[in-house]
Amino acid sequence: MKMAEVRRMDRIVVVIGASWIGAEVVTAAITAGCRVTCLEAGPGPAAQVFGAEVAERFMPWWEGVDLRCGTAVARVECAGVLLQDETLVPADTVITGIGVRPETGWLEGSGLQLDRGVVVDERLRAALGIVAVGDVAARWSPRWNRHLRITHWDDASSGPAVAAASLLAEGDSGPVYDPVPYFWSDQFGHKVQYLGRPGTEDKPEFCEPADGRGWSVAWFDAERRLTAVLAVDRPRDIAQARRLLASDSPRLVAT
Amino acid sequence: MRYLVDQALCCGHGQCAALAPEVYGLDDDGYNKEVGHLADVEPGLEEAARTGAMACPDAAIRLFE
Repeated sequence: MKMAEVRRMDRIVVVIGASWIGAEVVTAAITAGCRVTCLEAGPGPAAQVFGAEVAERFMPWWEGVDLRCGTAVARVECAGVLLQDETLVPADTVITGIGVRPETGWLEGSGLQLDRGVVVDERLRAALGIVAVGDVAARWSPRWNRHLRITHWDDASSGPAVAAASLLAEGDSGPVYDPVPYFWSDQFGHKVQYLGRPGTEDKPEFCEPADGRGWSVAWFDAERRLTAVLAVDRPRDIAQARRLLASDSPRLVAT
Repeated sequence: MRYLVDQALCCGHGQCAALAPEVYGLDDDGYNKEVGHLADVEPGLEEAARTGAMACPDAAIRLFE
């Protein structure tokens, strides 16, 4: 979010949701001198994505913000945000960043397979002559052996060329689209990068580098194969993880 | 074709090397290894160079044709 847009706002800002969008908006708002309250339903920042243990690591960044976790919002009113316990949190400006869901209702009965998105194969094909790409596409990933719905910038940027090639290709002669998911966020003066996609059972392990610069978290599956890395101010960890994850025998054993 | 990676803009996303490894490489710290000076694109790899440059979230790569 551009600083100028925040500066045009009034002084008391309430942000609903402490995930990536929330963190970036909060950063811009406090930098612009606003008083900021953030209302988060989960146990901590980005806890829905990374779990409470990782969320705990983000907490120090939020000093100076009135961050209220485990807080359920009822509705937005003229004077501010009404919580489910009927507390009113006053606000001049309310910004909501609580995630997205694809709107596929209009495709019900179309014959396309829908499962929290439009289900497509590894060439982004939903049916003969029909492709889906970007936030709405639940694409089959041979690499991860499951459907992925990736709502990140690089998928929207690089997917359409493959979708177009699929429409023009005969049979299965078109390219396969199966990049390692990548996402980043600039917040509280930190560069946060996230590569890969952990399975629901994968366990996070923290890495405190000897040089004291930043930190990272790696997820491993039951067979000790790397499935995802979250790096804070450590692009080198992302580069190394990318080499592992992008190789054909990806997930080399790390011990 | 040549390319220039802006030192002030490259922040180690690594998307260039992920999408066009035949053109772009990363240094040990995860940044483009040619950052800050003009580098040549091998003949025949121009399209890959464009793909990698387009993939940079910070538009740090400029191509000179």
